Amino acid sequence: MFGKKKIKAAALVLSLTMVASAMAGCSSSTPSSSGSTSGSADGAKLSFTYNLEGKYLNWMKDLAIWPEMQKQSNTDITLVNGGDDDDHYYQNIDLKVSSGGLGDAAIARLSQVQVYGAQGAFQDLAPLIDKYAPNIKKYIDSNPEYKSMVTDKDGHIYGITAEYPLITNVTFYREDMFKAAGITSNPTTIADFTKTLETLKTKFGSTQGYYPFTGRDSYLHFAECFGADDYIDDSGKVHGIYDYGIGNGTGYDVHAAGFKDMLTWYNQLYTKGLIDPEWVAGTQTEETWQTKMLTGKGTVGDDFPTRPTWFMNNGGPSNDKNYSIKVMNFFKDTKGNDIKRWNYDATIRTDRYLVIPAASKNAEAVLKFEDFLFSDKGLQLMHYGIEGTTTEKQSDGTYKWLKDFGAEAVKPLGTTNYGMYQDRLTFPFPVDNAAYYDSLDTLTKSYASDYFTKYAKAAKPIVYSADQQKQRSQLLAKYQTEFTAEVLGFVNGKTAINDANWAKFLADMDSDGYTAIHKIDQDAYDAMQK
Amino acid sequence: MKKKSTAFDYVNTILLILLALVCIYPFLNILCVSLSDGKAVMAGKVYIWPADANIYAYKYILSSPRLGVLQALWNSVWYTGVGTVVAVFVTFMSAYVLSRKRFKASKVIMTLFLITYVFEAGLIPNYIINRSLGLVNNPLIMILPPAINTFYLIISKSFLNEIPESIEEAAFIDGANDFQIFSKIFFPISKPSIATIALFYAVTRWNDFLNPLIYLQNDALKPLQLILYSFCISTDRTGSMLENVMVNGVMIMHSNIADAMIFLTIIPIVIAYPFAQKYFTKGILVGSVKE
Amino acid sequence: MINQAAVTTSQRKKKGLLQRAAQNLKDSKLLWIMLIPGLLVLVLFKIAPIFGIAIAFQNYSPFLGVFKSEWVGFKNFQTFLSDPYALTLIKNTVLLAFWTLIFSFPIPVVFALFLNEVKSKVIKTGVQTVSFFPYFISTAVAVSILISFVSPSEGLINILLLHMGIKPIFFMSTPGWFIPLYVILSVWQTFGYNAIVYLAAITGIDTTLYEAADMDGAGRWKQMFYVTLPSIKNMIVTMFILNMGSILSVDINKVLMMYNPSIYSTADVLQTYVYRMAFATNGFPDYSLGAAVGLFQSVFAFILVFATNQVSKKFSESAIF
Repeated sequence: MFGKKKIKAAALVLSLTMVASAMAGCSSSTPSSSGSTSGSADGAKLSFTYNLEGKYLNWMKDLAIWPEMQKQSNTDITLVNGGDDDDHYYQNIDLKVSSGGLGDAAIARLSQVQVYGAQGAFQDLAPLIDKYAPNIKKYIDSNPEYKSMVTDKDGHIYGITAEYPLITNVTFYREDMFKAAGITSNPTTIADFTKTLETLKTKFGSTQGYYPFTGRDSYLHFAECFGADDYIDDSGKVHGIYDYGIGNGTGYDVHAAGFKDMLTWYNQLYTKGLIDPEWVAGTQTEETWQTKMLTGKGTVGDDFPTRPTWFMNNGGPSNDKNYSIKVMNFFKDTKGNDIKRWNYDATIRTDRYLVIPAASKNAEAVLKFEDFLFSDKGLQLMHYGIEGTTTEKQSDGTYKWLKDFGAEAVKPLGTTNYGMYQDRLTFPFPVDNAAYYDSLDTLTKSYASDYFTKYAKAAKPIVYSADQQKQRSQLLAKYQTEFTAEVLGFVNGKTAINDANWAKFLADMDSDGYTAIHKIDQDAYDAMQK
Repeated sequence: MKKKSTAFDYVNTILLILLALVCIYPFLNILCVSLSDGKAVMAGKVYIWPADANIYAYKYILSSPRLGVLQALWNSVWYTGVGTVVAVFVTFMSAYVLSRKRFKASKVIMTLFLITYVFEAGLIPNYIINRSLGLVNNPLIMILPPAINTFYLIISKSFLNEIPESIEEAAFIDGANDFQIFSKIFFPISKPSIATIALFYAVTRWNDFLNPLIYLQNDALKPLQLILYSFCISTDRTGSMLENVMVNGVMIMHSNIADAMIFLTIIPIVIAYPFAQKYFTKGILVGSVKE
Repeated sequence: MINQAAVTTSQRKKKGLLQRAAQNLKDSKLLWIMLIPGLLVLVLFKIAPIFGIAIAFQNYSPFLGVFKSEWVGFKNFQTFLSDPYALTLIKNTVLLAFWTLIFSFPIPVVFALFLNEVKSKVIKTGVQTVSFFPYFISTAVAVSILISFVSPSEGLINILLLHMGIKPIFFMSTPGWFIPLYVILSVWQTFGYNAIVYLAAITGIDTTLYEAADMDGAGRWKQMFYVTLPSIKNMIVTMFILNMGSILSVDINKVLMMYNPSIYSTADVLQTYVYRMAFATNGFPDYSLGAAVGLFQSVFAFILVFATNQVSKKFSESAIF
């Protein structure tokens, strides 16, 4: 049945197919960095390869400014997909760092920059910047925070990092539901806010599964109002577990008096059914949250600033023709003072460093391109796009936006996108917040600039050494678990908030890592000041 | 032999049908979501029937050159087809050799297989080996290293052990050599087990996205599961790559696109499955040798 | 005359023996040749990467590689085992693996046996085909389906409970529910797939055995117990030993998607702990710690497989080594 002849024939066909595909596969492998060097003579194009995550690569290819970026800097850049997922992208860096498969330029995490830079895997950019990148040099010298993030204690620069716009969460609400409940003025303090939620609960509480205040990820918002947030005071003392103020469930100063008040408040919300228990329990997904907000099972949220637009465009009005979302001002603190809130993400990022592997022969090309991005002409392009297409400069110096961001943001992949996305990773360059706020869609634009100018503040960065980073990561993993569990116990009422329990809580936190982590944070910050 | 249907039969059948419904519900749901209007999906209205049915999600996925779905589909078919044939051939032939009692080295070799089955080396050593063999960004990474799955090897060996020795002895007396015995006698008899192994390998190869994620960065080589993963499923705080898009005035939401792609990855196997299935539901008379 | 014939016959027999011996050796050679592809795969892709176990004893940096990274002996194991949390993790991992095995192992066997009894070919094939489908749903999708099923606000289960007057249960945030949910999901995903092995084995059963049992007056149940089940006994034992090998490697993706801080007390297992400690932070990934915990698990699994193998030798003739 399977005669020898047939098997032989099959084997032959199989091996031919394999050989053919192997040849095809080999010829389209990742370009090696030791390829042809690019001429630096004027007129000749500079070329290099750039290794970044697949998602950003695909987004960048569609950007209208991408061809312009290359044209105006006289470069020819080959984008290389280094991985399709955050975790796997950075893991691939680890896998390829020793084999020269990273090309001329790659994006890496700060920790990888520190460790591999010291081990010699990445080129020291400091002398190269002096030689080829005057704009970058000027920027580093005039921005001490940026300088501290890219320069190590010996003066080496193993990577330059990308910046991120200064934005915060915004507190948004269903304006129509407020009207229906008879709420005429927005709350200005936490106490007011509680009353507002109670009014909403009275009006809408009969709907199954309705909770006035709902959200996703961490529920411990508004720590700034209680003075329970992590920050560095003017005297240089670190308060709390430092997380750049991001407050997405990892920072907080448990020893602050306000922290106890904050948990008391959340416990109050939980007992009265004013906050979504699924959210508090940590089982809320993005989908369930979105559905709740769209179908009227929730009224108030505190989340990413473009969320109101998302809800308006993705079914809100089709479920309820009165659907309308507005943003309320940030609350004052418990003493009645106007305060600011912390940035949504670090303004100088720790996960978007551009490095040049040791084997690359095109470092000059990479740095000249980056220098263009740091120059006035490049910044103009990265902030305001193509003159006459994306924006039009007016006689008084302001810009008129010619494209509708809302329409650009939903364009299918593969079509030219005229939106400006300073928050997405392209290349490192200094961010312009005013331009960013103006580049957003109509609804978001209406509150972005005012809200952020009034309330947004950026946390100072702390740079850790590789050893500190390792210790801190291990401590944090344990600390966060205990922290979340014990805080949850207070909020959902399992543990009463009395003096005895609170003292035990603080003692637990200290021994679970608070003391150790706090010391690392303080030491690292002090070292930066020298 | 006709037997009367007892109460047991009715209860058994009903329970099994209920079980089948539980298994099929998610697929129905995925299909309905992919054909529905995203807003209705978000409002929680779609269970087992689409709302505002449309095929925009499918149109978008299949026609977008950036997604490369058709190329990925072809890649998946190629990896699965060639990979399964190679794997079944190597595995079954090796299982045959190792199940022969006269092959003295089988104990040692099986122990080696088992040790490597339990002590998994981890990502980095595997990467280093594969890289030095030139398998990075090479389609052969989906064919050669997974050619033997220890689990399936042992199952094959178990199947082969069940075949009575007398068949082999009879063939030897007739003057056949090992290869002829393997190909002309054991191979045809073992159709149910070969079909089983082939199915398992095919499914594993079709579903595999971790290996391509690490080794195949070249867009032209990516299989369908990886496209699904990178465009729809993997998300971080900036969202997945395929957020809601507006095509021809219709807002196609992420859930529609994701579910449409999921359905596309499931369909080919679902179609191919019945062909394999007939091999292990048919009865086969093994008792062809008179003692 | 007769003596001559006798001599030549014995001579012929002797020659036959020698020839057969030579033939045997040649046959072994052919067997070895047939084994070459398998041996290559074994050596290149299974044995060669074992050198990576060294990573567990180093302070590994991917740039320096195995040969240049610093050796730290058992320090990584110490870090892991001296953590007071380690005991909880091991307990959770073992419990999860244990309960998964208890349910997901017998159910495919039972399913195969009962499906075999169905008389209608259409129903038999239909159910068997459909039972196989859940295997194709990736873990991410399966978990999101589960989550929406048990959601306190929208899930079908809680809607039913509400109709019966019971308050909604927060399944995903109750520690006690984690293991049952995980096991149910695992079983649902794999029972149809695993049953195939047994169904294939059942088709290989000699039908004359059933005829003989019939003639002895055995009913359906007796036939199932005394004919079908024993005939696939060897396959069951083999599958059991193999499952022991993977007992401690719970599906990390499933756990990762199902767990949240509310249920860490039961849901946090060795792999998720390693993931959080070594990979999920902004720090430099700790491959050494991951390798150490992995090695720890492998040793455990190996002991289990070996023990099960020895025990099975006593009860059946099928053992793996």
